[in-house]
Amino acid sequence: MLEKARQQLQEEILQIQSQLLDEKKKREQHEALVRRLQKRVLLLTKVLQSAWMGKTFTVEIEKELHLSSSCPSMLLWFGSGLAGCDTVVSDAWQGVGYSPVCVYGGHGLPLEMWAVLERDGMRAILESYDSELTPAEHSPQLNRRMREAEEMVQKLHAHNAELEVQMSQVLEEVGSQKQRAEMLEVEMKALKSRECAAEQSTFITKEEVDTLRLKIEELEAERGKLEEQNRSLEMKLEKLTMQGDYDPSKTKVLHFSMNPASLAKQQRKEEQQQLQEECERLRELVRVLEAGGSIHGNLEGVGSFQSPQEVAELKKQVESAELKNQRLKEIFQTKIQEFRKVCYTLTGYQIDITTENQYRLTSIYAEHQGDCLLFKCNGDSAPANVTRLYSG
Amino acid sequence: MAAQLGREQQGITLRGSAEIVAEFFSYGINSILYQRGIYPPETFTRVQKYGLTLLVTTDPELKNYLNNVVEQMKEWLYKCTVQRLVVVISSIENNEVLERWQFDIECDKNAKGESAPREKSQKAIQDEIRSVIRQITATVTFLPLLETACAFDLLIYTDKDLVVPEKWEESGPQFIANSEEVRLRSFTTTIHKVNSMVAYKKDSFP
Repeated sequence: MLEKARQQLQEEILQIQSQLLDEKKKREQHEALVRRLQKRVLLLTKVLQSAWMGKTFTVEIEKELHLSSSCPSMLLWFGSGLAGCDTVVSDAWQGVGYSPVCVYGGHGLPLEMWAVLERDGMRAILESYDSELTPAEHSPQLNRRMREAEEMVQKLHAHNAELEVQMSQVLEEVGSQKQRAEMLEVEMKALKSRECAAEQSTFITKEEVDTLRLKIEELEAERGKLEEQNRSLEMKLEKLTMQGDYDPSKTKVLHFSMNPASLAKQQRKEEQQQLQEECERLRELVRVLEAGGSIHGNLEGVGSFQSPQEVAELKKQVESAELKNQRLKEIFQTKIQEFRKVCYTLTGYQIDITTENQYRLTSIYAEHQGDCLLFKCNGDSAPANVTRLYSG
Repeated sequence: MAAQLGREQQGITLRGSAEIVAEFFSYGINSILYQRGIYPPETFTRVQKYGLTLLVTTDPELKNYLNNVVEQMKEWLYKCTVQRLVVVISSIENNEVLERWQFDIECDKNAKGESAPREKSQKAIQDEIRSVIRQITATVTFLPLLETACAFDLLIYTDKDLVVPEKWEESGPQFIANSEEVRLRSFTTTIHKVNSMVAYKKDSFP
C-alpha cells in the first residue's frame, strides 16, 4: 500500500514538474512576446514622435490593405484594432478568400498566433512607415493610429499583467504542489519509518507472543496440577468425611451418657476388679498352704476374704434358714403339746420327763394329787428295766 | 409411629419428615445390632416394616436406650440441628472401634418456615428406605467378622450451638485407626436427606 502511495506521489510529482516546465516555457514565450512588443512600442513611439514633429504621410487604409493582402494576419490585426471598419475588413477578407467570421474571434486565438499576427502587423506598419516616410498631412490619421497603437499597447499590458497574474498563480500552484510533494515525501518517509517500526514492533510482539505462549503453557501446567491437587483433596475430604471427621468449629459430637458401650465397659471394669480380688485371695491361700500352716483357721480367715456379694448371699441364706427353723420349732411345740394332751385324756396317764433318764407317770385317777410312778432308765434305755419308784 | 405415617398420605411436613427419619434410625439400628451380632439373636423379634421382615430387640434396657435416643433425634431433626448419626461398634475387650455406621443428614432448613407440605409420596420414601435397609443387611457379605465381644454407642453430630440436654454429654468422634469405607444408598424425604455409609477396620490379615 505504501509502495502504491509512493508511486502515486512520484507520478504526481512528475506531472507537476512537467506542468512546471510547460508553464516556464509559456512564460518565456510571454516574456519574449513582451520584449518584442516593447520594441515595437518603442518603434511606434519613435514613429509617432517623428510624425509629431511635422512629417505627414497619406496612407489609405484600402491601399495599405491591398499592400498587405499577401499577409492576412495584418488584416486581422487591423480588423481587431479598428472599430468601425468592419465592412471594409470583411470585404477585404472576402477578397483574399477568408471567412470574415474569424476576424472577430481574434481574442480567442492562441497567444502564438497573436504574437505572429502582431509581429507581422507591426512589421508591415513599420515597413509602410519606412516606405512612405514622406511627410504629409495625415496627422489625424496618425493620431488615430497612435491611439490605436496605444490602446493596443495597453491591451497588451493588460494581457501581460493577466498573464503575469496567471503565471504567478501557476507559480504559486507549483510552489504549493512542491510543498505538497515535499509534505507527501515527508509523510512517505514517516510512513516508511513507521512501517519499519511496525515491522520491528511485530518482531517484538512475536517475542512477546512466544513468552506469552510459554507463560500460558506454564499456567496450563499449573492449572492441571492444581486441578489434580483439588481432586485429590476432594477425595481426601470425602474419605475423611466417610471416616467420620467433622469441623469442630461448626459441629459437636454428643452421646447418651448411659449408652450400651459405656455400660459394658463399666461392667467389664467391675468384673475385672472382682476377678483381681479373687485372684489375690487365692494367691494368699496358696501361700498359706505352701507354708503348711494351720489350714483350718487360715481357711476361715481366707473365707472372710469372700466377696461382699457372697457374704450377702450367704447371710440371706442363713436368714431364710433360721426363719425356717423357727417356724419348724413352733410347729413342733404345738404338735407336741397337742399330742401329750390327747394321750392324757385318752389314756388317763401323763408322762413327764423330770430329769435325764427319769420319767414320771401320773394318773388322772390317783387318790392323791402327788401320787406318781417314777421310772429310771439304766444305760440300755429299755423302759422295762425302769426302776419303779413310788412317791407318796 | 406407623399410624402417623399412614395418616400423612398427602405430603411431607417437617414434623412428618422428622418422624420418618427417626423411625428409619430405630429400625436401621436394630437391624445393624442384629446383623452384626452385638446382642444375642434370641433377644430379637420379627416385625413387618417397609415391606420387609425386620428384627427388633426385646431387651428392655436396650429398648429403653434406643427409645431415648430416637426421641431426642426426632426433636433435633425437627429443629434441623442434627448433622449425623453414627453407630459405633467397638470391642468390649480393648475399646477398639471396629465399625462405624454413619448416617449423614442434610436438613433443608427452608422447610422450617414452610407451611405447605412437600410433594413426595410415602410410598416413594418407604421404597428408598427399604433399599437402604436391604443394603445394610447385604453388607454382612463383605464386612469382616466381629471376633470379639462388642458393644455399641450412638454418636450424634449436632450444630455447635446446641444446648446439651440432661443425660447427654460430649464425646469424641471415635474414629477407626485404619479403615475402609463403603458408601451405601441414600434416601430423602425432600426435607431430610440421609446418606448412609459404613467404615470398618481393615483386615490386618488379608
